Amino acid sequence: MEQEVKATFEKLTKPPITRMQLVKYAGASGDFNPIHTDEEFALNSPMKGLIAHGMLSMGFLTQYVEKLVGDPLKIKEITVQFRSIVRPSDVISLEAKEVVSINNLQKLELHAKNQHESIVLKGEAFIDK
Amino acid sequence: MIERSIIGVESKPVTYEIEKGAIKKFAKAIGEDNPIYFNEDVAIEKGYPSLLAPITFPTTFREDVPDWFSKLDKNKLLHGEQSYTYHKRLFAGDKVDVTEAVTDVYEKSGSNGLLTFIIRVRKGYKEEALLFTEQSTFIIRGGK
Repeated sequence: MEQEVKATFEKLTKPPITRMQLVKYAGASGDFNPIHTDEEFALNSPMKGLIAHGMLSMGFLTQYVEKLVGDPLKIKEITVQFRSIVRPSDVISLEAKEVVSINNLQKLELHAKNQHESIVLKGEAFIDK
Repeated sequence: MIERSIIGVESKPVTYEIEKGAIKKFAKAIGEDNPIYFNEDVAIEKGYPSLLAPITFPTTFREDVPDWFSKLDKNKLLHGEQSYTYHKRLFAGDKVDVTEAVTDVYEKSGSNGLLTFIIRVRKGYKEEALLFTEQSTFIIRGGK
């Protein structure tokens, strides 16, 4: 069921994903799955090429929510579903809508979309008022 | 082959010490620009004990990889969902005891064949108080 939208926030567009960013994210997160960094492995895999870490897009989304909320400590919960893959050179934009408030928590509906407006990540966050 | 027998109780905790350098490196990798992740003076001015760790920082806790996870065929592995619930955020200098458990394994057939879903829950404690819960859904294409 569609929830009533109380507010829509300005979207945030991140710079294009680069291969170097995936190497850095692999190093910083410890996720060394070669599908993200080893082109030969990736081309021979069912993914047929490098894909970005889903958690990198989630990192973008949490940054965006923090910018909207102001105080990072107010974010109590954030959940995402990874809907489609992100590849190097894709441009990710983050969007948020405020929907209902439940028990003193604000609920935000979140989307990350690529440059083709396809949803790559869908989520929700609960924020302390 | 994924067995439901991996569903089980909370593991013994592994202790992770949150380091400033690790926070900075991780924050930089996700394109973060908020100084509370880079500049300890700014963090302390905000009333934090030290640098704040980003919400998704617990994904870096990978010292103790369970057997079932290392055996997964990375060619068939997809990350389906991820969630974080915080009671208290993590800061540099914290020592966090992290437990993990597989809470469910199930199969679904879709248009692309059989999918196996594995739900993993990790919990972070500081001095026995729960700080955060992380839930991950992994999807294995092709199933058994």
